[in-house]
Amino acid sequence: MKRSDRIAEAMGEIDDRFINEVQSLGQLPKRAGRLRWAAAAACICLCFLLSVIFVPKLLGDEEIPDIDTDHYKGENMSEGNREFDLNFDGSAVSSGSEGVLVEAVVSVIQDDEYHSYVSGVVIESDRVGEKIGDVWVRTCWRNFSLGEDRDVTSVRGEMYKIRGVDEKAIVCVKYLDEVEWLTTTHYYSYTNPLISATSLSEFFSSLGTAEYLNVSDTASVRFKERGEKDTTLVSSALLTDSAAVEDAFLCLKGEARSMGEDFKSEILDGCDLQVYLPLSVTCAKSSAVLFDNGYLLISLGGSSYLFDVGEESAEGLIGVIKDHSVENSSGVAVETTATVAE
Amino acid sequence: MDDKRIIDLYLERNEEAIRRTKEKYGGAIRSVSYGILKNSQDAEECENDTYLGAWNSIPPERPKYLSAYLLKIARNLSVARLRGKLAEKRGGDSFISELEDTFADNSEDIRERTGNEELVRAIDSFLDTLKPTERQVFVCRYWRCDGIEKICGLFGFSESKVKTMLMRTRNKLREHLEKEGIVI
Repeated sequence: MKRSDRIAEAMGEIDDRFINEVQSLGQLPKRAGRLRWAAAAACICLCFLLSVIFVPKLLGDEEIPDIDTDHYKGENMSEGNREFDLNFDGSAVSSGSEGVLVEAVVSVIQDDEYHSYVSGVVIESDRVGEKIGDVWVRTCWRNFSLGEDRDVTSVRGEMYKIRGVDEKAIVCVKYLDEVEWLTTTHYYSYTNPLISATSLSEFFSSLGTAEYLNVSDTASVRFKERGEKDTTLVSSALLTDSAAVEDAFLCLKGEARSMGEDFKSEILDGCDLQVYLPLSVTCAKSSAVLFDNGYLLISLGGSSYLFDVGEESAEGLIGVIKDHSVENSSGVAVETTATVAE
Repeated sequence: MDDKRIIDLYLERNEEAIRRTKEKYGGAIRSVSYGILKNSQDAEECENDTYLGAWNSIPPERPKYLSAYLLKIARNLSVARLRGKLAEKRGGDSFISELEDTFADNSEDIRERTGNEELVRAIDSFLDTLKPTERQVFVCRYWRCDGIEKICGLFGFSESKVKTMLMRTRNKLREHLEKEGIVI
């Protein structure tokens, strides 16, 4: 056999990681699927944004090591929306400042088990636990308005557990190959939006937040009902027994659902009542939105999680909340807005 | 369906495994084969041979990364087919002719050839020494057998930059193998 043939043949047996590295190249979104991508990108964007803001707090990290955080190139990028909210007309609702994320770094771990994890923020090295293994990470700049990726590259990384947190919830990665927008000296968190938990209690425990969870009885619970002609009505109430509500909340069992392209319509379809429950996890402001058709959307610290808890359980919890709250003193519908869907 | 479940189907000798494999990786397999053979019919035959190869090798094999495993089979079948074609009509602008330029046969070298496994290990260790972009360009060209034009498009490089990068990397590989005492 000729030397060149031997090299060609040997190249066919190179390590799988080199193959995985190039297979992730060139898989850019098709222009025809822009709308589909825009929806998916919006979800990724939101999770990413929330991760950047909250994961350190969720993990108890008040101090983030010095790092060049020039991860964003969006012209109007700002801190973003802290509460995840859905109107009955399907539009996202904001409270507070928000911005338009035009372009951001998106990194995906090239390992089936961790492929769905969402890249987050830098965490302190003393939070890092034992090593899980070596991984390849595909990273690129994603332009959300064009639905295009650029500077697609794959880098090697070491994946570690985070102390006190289940690896099925959050892991962290230290990169071995340097690229312009990632360092090889810090640990980056990756959160799992499809966390596996049989109950909400287990879910919070796996995130290492169980002991901090608190349903505040000083904050108001908001009820949003589907009105005639798709109008939206909001009323609020104060909890009289937050412990009872928290207990009922933590007993909920459900399955984590992917927030894919159709998740808004899926959630809102057949839903007549939404209940907004403020949660407190250390210093992070978090919330749970319960839909009477059986969905629960938790905006907690670093990420947003969607659970299918079943209609019966959802209605049960809504009943508990109603039983243990009083209408706001200023009236049934203290805050009323009317948004006519187009 | 996740890879673990597909592999289980192979292990159970369930023919659903092939349907699921085709569904999930058919496009990638065809793409690799077509990239090497530049012929749809040949690529399709290689794709089918890849499914057969996977069926015959799992078990006993139980691949860690199913996608890489399948693509390796497809790549090697396609290269073998390409070699047969080149033997009929020698020459042409193929990745093999580039390797011939760098790794010309040396009739004076009478040392015993290094085993294939050791050669693969040496290439793996060489790839580890490269910068990510260099490595990706090299693997795209000599593993996936992508055309120069396609690589230019993937990385946003000019044709001359890609050709120069490949030439330098081939020379580095030759030096690395010589340093490691590999006889090819």
